[in-house]
Amino acid sequence: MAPFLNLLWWFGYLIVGLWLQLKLPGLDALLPGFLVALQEKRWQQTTWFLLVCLLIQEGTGTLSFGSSVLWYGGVILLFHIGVWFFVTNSLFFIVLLSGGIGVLYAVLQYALGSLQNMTLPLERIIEQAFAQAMLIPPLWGIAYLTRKKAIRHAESTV
Amino acid sequence: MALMLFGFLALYTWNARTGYLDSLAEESGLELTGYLLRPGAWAADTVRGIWNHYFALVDVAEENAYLRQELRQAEEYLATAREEQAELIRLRALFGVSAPEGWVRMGSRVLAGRFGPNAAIESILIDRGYASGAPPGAPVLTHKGLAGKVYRASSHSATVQLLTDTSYRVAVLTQTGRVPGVLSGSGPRALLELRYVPRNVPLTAGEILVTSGMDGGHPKGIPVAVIVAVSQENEGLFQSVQAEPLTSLEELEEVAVLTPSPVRYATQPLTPFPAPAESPLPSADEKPAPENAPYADGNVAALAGAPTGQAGRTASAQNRTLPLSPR
Repeated sequence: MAPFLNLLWWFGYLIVGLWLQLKLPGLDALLPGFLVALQEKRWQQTTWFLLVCLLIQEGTGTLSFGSSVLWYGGVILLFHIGVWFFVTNSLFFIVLLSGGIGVLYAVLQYALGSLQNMTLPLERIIEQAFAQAMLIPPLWGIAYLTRKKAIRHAESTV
Repeated sequence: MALMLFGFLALYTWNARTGYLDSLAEESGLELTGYLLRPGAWAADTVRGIWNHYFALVDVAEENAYLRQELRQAEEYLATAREEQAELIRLRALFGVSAPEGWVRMGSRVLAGRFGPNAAIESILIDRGYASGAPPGAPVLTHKGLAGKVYRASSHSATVQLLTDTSYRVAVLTQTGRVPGVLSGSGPRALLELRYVPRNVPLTAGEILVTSGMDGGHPKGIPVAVIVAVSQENEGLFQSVQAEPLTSLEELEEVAVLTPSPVRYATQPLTPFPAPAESPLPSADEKPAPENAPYADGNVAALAGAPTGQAGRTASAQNRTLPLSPR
């Protein structure tokens, strides 16, 4: 894929992700894109995108620095555990992974909130964890398909 | 794995002590997000404006009649308020109470609600930062009353902690009874709680709570909430009082940020060491000030920590031209 088109796709995804986060308070809409990056196994690209995600989520969040490092670190760990058992491009794997990410969301929010003496309503943490888990598969599907299409388009024009 | 965990804990602790990574994330992530969201907010406003002004004209005549009636009532209220204001000015002068002035109000657009998975507390994102008038701790309000305070800020964007957050506290007074208390948030979609009000103090539902200014972070007299329930059923020393925010915190679009005005400092005496009219001879333990002494020409800026020398003098000259407010 041409570098310019590749960059354009990621920038477009970033804008759409941020706008989704605007409409879905408390959720991470950049994460499905990060999963796509992990699946492509282009480590330079994954690292850059991870860095941007980390800075955005840490900068706009209200928990002290480190929460996103654990969040994305946990996702990477779950992803690599999943790779041992499943084909990473299958929807079934993504649905299972989303469930795991939902649990990770709840655990991290509760643990980091407690660490900073914040009383976070448990009810809402569970609601948001569920919503985060539900958000990933459709968004991943759209990102995966558009990415595939963009790659195919780039290859046909070369 | 253990090494990574150790590395993370070391990073976390180091940042908790120095705050370097927090600043880095604010200056990059928060700032970038602000810049990326601003064009979208502008486009949405434009579309909404076009729709409201040209397409959504249903029931305008009805609304117009209603607004005219409201205007008449407001004019009557304004006439009464003018009289009260004049009385207030007289009383303030009489008792020497300083007016809650010295704050600058700056408008700001709300860019987003709780943004991202790290937005653990009740918060919003606004398009002003510490370089544009919204430093951490600055109170944030709407035309109805207090909404929250700036929690963290980059140079041009900031996160505001809302009144309903469980860790938010503000010192308040009841508007008519002048009963002090501490108002605290109880989480999303929950009423606020007024704490530390003794059981023998009469309180009624419907009374307005205003900031008392005792916490040092909020200027005195900003309306905050209205009491909705008072109960003495608990066995403690204090009443159980619940209040509802005056501002609708789930529908914020624009807010105002209050910051201390630089004019405030100009209200200090301009000559901290006034020279007597007839200069007496210096006493035995008094030494004449050298010509280049920072305060020799009444340089207040130098006293306030401004650089001395030419730059300090310029600041001093600017201070002299600022209007003085009556005390």
